[in-house]
Amino acid sequence: MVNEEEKICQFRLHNWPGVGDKAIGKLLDYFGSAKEACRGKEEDLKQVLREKTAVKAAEFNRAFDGEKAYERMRRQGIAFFTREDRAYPSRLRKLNPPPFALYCLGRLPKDEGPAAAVIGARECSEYGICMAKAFAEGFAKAGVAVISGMARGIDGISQRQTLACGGETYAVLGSGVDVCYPASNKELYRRILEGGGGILSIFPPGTMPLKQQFPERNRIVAGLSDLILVVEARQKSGTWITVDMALEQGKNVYAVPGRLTDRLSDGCNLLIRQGAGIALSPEDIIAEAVLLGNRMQWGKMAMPAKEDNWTEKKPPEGKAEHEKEDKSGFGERAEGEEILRFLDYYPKSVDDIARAMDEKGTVAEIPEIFSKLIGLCINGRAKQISGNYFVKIDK
Amino acid sequence: MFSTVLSGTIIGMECRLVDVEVDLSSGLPCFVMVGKLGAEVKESGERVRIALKNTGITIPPMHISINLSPADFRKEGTGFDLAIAVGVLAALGRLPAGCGKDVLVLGELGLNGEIRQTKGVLPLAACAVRAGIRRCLVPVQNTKEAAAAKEMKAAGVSHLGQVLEYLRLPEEKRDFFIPPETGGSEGLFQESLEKEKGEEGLDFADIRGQESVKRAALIAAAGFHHMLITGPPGAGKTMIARRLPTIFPPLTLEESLEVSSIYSIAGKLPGGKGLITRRPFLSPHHTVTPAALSGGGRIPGPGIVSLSHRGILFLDELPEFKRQTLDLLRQPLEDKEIQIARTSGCFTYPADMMLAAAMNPCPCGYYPDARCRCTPYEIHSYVSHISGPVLDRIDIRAEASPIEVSQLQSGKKGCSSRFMREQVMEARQRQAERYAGTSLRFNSDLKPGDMERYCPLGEREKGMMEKIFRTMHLSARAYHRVIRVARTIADLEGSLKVETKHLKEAVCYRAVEMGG
Repeated sequence: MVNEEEKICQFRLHNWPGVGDKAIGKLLDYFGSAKEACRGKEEDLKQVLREKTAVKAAEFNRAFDGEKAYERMRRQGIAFFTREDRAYPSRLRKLNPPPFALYCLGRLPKDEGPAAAVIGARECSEYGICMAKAFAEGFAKAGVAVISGMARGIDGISQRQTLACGGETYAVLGSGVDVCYPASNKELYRRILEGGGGILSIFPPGTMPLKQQFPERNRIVAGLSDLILVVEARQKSGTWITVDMALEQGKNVYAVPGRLTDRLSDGCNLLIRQGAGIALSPEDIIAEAVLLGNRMQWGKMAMPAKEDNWTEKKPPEGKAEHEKEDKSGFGERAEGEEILRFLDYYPKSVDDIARAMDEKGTVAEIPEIFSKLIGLCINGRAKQISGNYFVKIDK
Repeated sequence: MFSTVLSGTIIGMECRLVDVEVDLSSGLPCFVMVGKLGAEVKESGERVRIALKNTGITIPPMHISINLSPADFRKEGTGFDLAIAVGVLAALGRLPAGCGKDVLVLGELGLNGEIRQTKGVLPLAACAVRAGIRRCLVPVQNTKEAAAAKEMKAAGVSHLGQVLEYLRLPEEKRDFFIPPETGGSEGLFQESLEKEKGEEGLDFADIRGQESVKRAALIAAAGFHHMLITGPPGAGKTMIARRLPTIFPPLTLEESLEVSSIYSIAGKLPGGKGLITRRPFLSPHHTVTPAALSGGGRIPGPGIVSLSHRGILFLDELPEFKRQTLDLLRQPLEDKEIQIARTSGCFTYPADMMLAAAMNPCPCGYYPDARCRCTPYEIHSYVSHISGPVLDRIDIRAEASPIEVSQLQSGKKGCSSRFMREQVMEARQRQAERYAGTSLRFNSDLKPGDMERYCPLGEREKGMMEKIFRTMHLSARAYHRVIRVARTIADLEGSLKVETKHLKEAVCYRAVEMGG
């Protein structure tokens, strides 16, 4: 355990502009401790750092009131961990190199509990949303922590669903932990802090989300997880960075398969061709995540009963709900079922549905189809995406 | 010598009869015109002088004064030329005294004495009839519209020489010299209708697929709801909008007179044609200026919104329109008229049109299809560019889906405009019966306060609306929109009550927050 003074100096060091983990390592080697490094003269710094960086760092160091900044940070509830702290996540320790420091609002992920990263595209389809929710729910219920980047799209959706199902989730940001990016996830940010988990970052508080920081963020996402699940990704996607990092770290990667014609699933399908695990049901993955993450308490962890396929389990559940709906007196059931067959997780237009029905020999007028679809929407079995596009929802 | 001739002018939509007084007296030779004249009227003196000369009439070197009375409002337009010329001729003694009594004289002069078309003849003739005038002398091209006024005998002239001869004749012989056009509006209306038969080129049957949009168009036409069509490029949005007039009921005589008056004032009445019998369909380009849309000028003329009165105003590529321009539509959409205030006064033009708009759902045009590569932010900013208050007044949103080759090649024809028009007319008949004796005309006029009275919902329907409201996150405004549209759907079906199936279908045409 390092003393408080040394820790503040480490914090100071971490704030120096243009000084990365590598440079900090060199400084510590040269000066022996962070305290000495902070006291170091510009000439001394020049021994280790490049000249320009050293000038800048020294200048910053003179103006920067480390103690005050540290105090302020603590008041905000932000915890600061370095490699020397015992609380520093052991998963990160195994990275090469481990990040020098970690900032945390809320809790740190437990070392002994299983954790899985659920990642994917920011622009996702209805299918992606549906799958992200299904897997996140599975993880939450099995006690697997969900690690993700709190980005728009798959990241945020899986984390939201995890919280909704009572699970815990940790967001690794590409900005300082006090900067909520994207702003549209403010609500999620707040709810994670209210008890669902924690917000982590390796960047000092106040850092803006800059493009070049995201690959490093993705490395931490991969590092904190026992395995990676890719829900939806294009052929060229930031998700690949996380996947590459995970493979480098020797983690298993799973991908949710999609249709070949769907550009948003290209990345996942490609991953599968390259040997990634095929994520057919949350249970498949949970078993592995629990195995990996939960070496300590084998028996206690509630292993989900072995269901062959979660999709097969669904219909009776849906039906039960449906019968309940029926009692409210709208008589949607018979109507709905026949049209549900023509819906998909991909948006389908009413005209397409009418044509498909026509081909199958079911004659239906447009107004009739419209009113049946809305019936399904009311019962939560379908969703109107826009105008006359509808998708199926599993719930 | 002194003479007076009756003429008239238009201010905004208002007609004013004007006496053209001419006096010849000895003194320094000059040609003086007074009476608060606009630039065109001032120039008129020059035209008249030369036209008279070229018709073989020399003006003696005398002091000629012309006054346009009443002199307290501004006179615009070129319609006074002929009246001034006639006044001068009468004052010269070339015409018998009192020959221009009780004749409305309108027309522009060319330097060679030719008489040219002028604006606003239709409403002016009607105004003259109300003042007890039964005869008018107008350019040949305007004869038909002048005759649309009841009991008006309209003589069409094409040259100043002709006028001279005509007015020299005693009253009873004039009709033999130039047989006047009469018949009032009914006859003319029938005639115009006949002429237009067989000209109807467009038909909804030409459109393959897009059944859901056609259905939405049917409902929009039946209840006079404003409509927005979204869809990818090439899906047929414009094609559908252009066919909207074909399913509207034909213009009635009163409507035709209203529309024709506006077109006459704007000088847009096609020459030689009496009345407009086809529903106006205007589709301004998105670079349209605010003044062109609302009506502009120091004394504003009717703008595009007024020219589409009783018809359809189609705005293609809605997000491309300037926000400022679209915001102008708020008043016409709400009040069915547009008020334009200028220093010279406040002018009100009718603007009771159905707004049809078309747009791509996102910058690339393919949302929510998988081909769309726009980010939610891009889609949002594209859509939010459109003026919210205008979108709020659009009851029906339909979405065209991308069309497939197989649909184009299949010989299957959709239902025809004639069939759809019959349905629309039936639904409108039901609305007319229901709203008889009130200020309401169509279901789209229903305000939240009227809903309870004209479309009461049963217990079952209320329960369902509550459920829809909750599960689909409707706003209060959207709630009322749904009920309005459901009322029209019920009318189309001939149902007295609004039932759950009508409501459910109506929900589909509501605005879904795009990109959300």
